[in-house]
Amino acid sequence: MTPPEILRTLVFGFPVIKECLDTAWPIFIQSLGGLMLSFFITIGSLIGGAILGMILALMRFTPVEEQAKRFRFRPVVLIGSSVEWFIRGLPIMIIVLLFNYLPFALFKLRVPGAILAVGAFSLYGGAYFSGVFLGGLRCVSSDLRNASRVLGLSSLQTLIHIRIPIAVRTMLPALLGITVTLFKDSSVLVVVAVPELMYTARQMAFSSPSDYAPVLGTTLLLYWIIATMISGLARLLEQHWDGAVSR
Amino acid sequence: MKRLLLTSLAAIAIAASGAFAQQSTLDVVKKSGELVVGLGMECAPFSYRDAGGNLVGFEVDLTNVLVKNLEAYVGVPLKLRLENVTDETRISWVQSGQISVSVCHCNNTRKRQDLIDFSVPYFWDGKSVMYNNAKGKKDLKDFAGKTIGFKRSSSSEGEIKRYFEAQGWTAPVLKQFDNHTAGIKALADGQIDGFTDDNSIIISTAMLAGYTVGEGKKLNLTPGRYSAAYYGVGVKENDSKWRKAIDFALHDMWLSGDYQKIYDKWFGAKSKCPIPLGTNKMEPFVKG
Amino acid sequence: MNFNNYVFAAPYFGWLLRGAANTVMISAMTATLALLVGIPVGILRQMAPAFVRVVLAGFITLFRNMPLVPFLLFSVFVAPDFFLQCTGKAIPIGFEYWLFIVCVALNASGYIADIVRSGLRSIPEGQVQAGRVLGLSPRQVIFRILVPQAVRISTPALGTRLIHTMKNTSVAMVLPIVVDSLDVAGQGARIAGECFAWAEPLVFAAGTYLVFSLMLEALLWYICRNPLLTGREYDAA
Repeated sequence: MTPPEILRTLVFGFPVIKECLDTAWPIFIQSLGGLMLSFFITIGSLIGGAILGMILALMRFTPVEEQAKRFRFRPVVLIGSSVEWFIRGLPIMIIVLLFNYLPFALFKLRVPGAILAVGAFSLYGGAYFSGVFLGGLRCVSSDLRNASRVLGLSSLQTLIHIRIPIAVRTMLPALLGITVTLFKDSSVLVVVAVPELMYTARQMAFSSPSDYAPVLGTTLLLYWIIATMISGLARLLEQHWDGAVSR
Repeated sequence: MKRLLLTSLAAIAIAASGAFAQQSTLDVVKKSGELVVGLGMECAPFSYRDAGGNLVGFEVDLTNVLVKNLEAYVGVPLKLRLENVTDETRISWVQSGQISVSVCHCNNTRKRQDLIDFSVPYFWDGKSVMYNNAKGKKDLKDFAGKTIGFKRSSSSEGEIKRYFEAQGWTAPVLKQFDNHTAGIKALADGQIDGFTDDNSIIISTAMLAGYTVGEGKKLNLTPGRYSAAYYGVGVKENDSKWRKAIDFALHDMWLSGDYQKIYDKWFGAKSKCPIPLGTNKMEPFVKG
Repeated sequence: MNFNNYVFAAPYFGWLLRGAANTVMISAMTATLALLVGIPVGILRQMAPAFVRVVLAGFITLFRNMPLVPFLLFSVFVAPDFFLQCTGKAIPIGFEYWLFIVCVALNASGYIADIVRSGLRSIPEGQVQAGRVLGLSPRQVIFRILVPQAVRISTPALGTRLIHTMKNTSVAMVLPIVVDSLDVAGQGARIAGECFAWAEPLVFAAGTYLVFSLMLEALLWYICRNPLLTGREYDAA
């Protein structure tokens, strides 16, 4: 195969077999392939992970006034923390394999691979998001609120001018870091035959083995370039805001 | 609270096992008008993506005819839906009912019979070890203590181990691959001494990968076989109504001559991996 | 769900236990190698002459942003040809296992180098100058001022990264590896293929990883409590 052909297949995936489509689920998602599906899984799990992470963070968050007190048994905090610890303790490989098998075995739920993948990665990302959100919540906690109230800002003004900007500045670089992790780790989906970039590449390499090195090399390069671009953006933002603060 | 928990657990358990197990897959298929076939997608010559990305292979053609024959038997138009199964999921998804049948070069072994049922065989073959001719002519016995590759979750691992045990030879070191082509490439590179699976699969895979197979060529097969392989369509355990439907569909295929056509296309004299139909020796089942 | 009882009978349970032992061994080797490469790279990235720093920055970016599965598949399948062309000899049998350890370790060392570097960077420049003014030699400044603080700052992050590396070793199943040296996740997939039961071996593997990470977290907590690391003795003095 010629290089443009290889690149096109890697980005858009193999042509979808129309018998494979499940009409009960959105056709658009199932007809994605290659790098596009990797992107979809990353973005989908970012959204899902953000929601789950926010829930976990709110469960784990204890306001500063409360922290000053001695230890008190708080079941919600305990549940939030143990869920987060549990997910963090599992490798993504195991989460993906369990997700591939369990929904039908337990609930008779027939779900296309791409959507299962989004679910698995949302769970995985959620645990990491919750840590970041917790940090964000803490740094906009009561001291700051009191200070801005003393300065005469209304609570809405405080939210818009103080709390959200600070939270975004603390959290955004870390969120981009998690995005990179999610994108890179989406390559483990090769073991459950979800046709994302790595699976497409492997299938292509194995259907015309003379192209082994170029196909796998291009794949690695694609992953690396995109991951480097996102983490470079995170670094730039960090530097930009660091400068803004010291100025 | 405890009672509520127990009740809900029991409800989940019943929902998960009982309620769905009773219905025959035939009725399910008839009602939904949809036949969900589990098809592997990376195993030449049975079903694989060719260089253009199209799904081709013996089992792909077989499935298309199977649906037509089944339609005639069931009496309602059927919509074919394919699920990409891997070798690990081809049995468990039939068990759980996620796919109606699995047409995934699945060897009918006794252990698998414990979990699902099989139709009449639609293809039969044996297992030998493929070796690199550069390392000299070989017999099965010469692989005692050597490194042999196998495809993960094929039946080869247990069978070759038991065969070598029964013969009293030193057990081979087994190396697992998650793809046939990767194994053939490792063999050609000299990373393993032999690679084993069903002969038709390894010969076709090696040829598609651009290696020559045969006497005095790059790769060759040992003359001795250590196991037989009978491919059957996997159906749910204890569902004889459904198994009968599949069996009849396969019989009709044989009678109408469609089977011969498909066979000739993939294993005929002009194909890449010629195996004359009928002369292929039936061999006894291997326990396990 | 169908519970196949024989998953937890011989020989399959033995496979799982062996897999757990292999996970420990692979993780220990990977962690050692990653620390051996990562710490010097991190230190030199901060302190070496400019051109070395540029090279090391490239090294860190290269391996930090390298996704593990494509990296492993690429290196394992391209290495034999490459080796043959370079040396004219076939690559030794069984290189995949060692290549796997090296690749995972390199990936982790990129992160470790970054952690060490940011630990060093967080120490104010003034402390170095103050040390020099007080008459300490450059070597003393490094070993008495910089290293103790950098170790104290970066130990928790290093520990977390090593736990993550332990979990990363579960990708071994995508590679051709001799069955006896597979890790616990790989053995789980192997049993899933043999007995057609996913839930039991996977839940066992998941439990193994949870127990291991719990033990490592406890160990990390114990290490971080050490007075040498909390810096209490500096405060007391």
